[in-house]
Amino acid sequence: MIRIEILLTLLGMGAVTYLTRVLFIVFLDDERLTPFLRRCLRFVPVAVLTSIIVPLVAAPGGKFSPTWDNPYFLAGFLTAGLAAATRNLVVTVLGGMGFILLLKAFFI
Amino acid sequence: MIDALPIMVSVFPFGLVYGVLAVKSGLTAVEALLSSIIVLAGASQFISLPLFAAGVSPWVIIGTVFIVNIRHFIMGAALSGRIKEPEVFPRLIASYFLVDETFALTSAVWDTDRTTSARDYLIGCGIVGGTSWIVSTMMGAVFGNLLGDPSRLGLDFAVAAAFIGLLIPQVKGRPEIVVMLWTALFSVFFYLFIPGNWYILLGSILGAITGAMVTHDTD
Repeated sequence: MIRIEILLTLLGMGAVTYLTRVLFIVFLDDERLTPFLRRCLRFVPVAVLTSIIVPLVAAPGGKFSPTWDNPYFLAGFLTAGLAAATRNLVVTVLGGMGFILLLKAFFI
Repeated sequence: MIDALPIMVSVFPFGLVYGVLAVKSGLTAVEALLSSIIVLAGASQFISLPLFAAGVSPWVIIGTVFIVNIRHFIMGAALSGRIKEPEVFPRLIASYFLVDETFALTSAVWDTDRTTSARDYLIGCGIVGGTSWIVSTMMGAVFGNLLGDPSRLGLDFAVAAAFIGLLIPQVKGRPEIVVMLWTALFSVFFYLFIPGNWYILLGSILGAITGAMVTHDTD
């Protein structure tokens, strides 16, 4: 099943993604990027991921609660520790799900 | 093609996780599959999921995906000089396959053997990696539909856990930590005070600029 508004959104996502790929390979040469912009781009992945994660865990449901009795906040730290130790995405996701289940069931 | 096996293997579990989370975020299995075919960009597809789940405006989703993917500028600029063939059409094809993994492999191989065609190499490992991504998405989506209530299984936290698993390996030193701390402040501020889910976009832009301000070209 495909909803038309979802399909259009996906096509828009695909179009802007393809634009970012094709621009320098086909249309521009790499002299166009200033050193400052290059350094900005280098930090984009870290900045993007952080700006998704932190509101999800520190303000779940739109309520700011960076405290230890917020299970998502605590699970976020535990999951980050697991990610640093294992560097494995599947283990991190499964571990994170385990943490949140345990925290909700037993502690908070 | 054999060189691309590590890409195939590393992409597969990632695609499975994406497929499961996509159907748990409200996409249908076919929509998840189409996303992997049309967009073919892991991180930005993941990032779209909480936005789809929250039902935000398509413009916010598309704008956020654009920001996530502007790192391709750097990769495209770096590869463009390594592609010697001038023909436009094959370059248009090769561009579709530019992802983190194919970029890393293609530039590494070309730098050790300059007789390799970077263009054909990019297309070759793109086909292998892309197939793995699309097949694993489909399998994950089908499997995800068999799982029950997202909250009961801890799946409501799985998206956040996946992002944490992607972020932590990228933290290589002090500049990344500084960027994380400032971005945390920016994004929470925008999340709480600006309506409409623009916080990812705005937080990322300010965070990346912070990173550029605390580093120098010699870093």
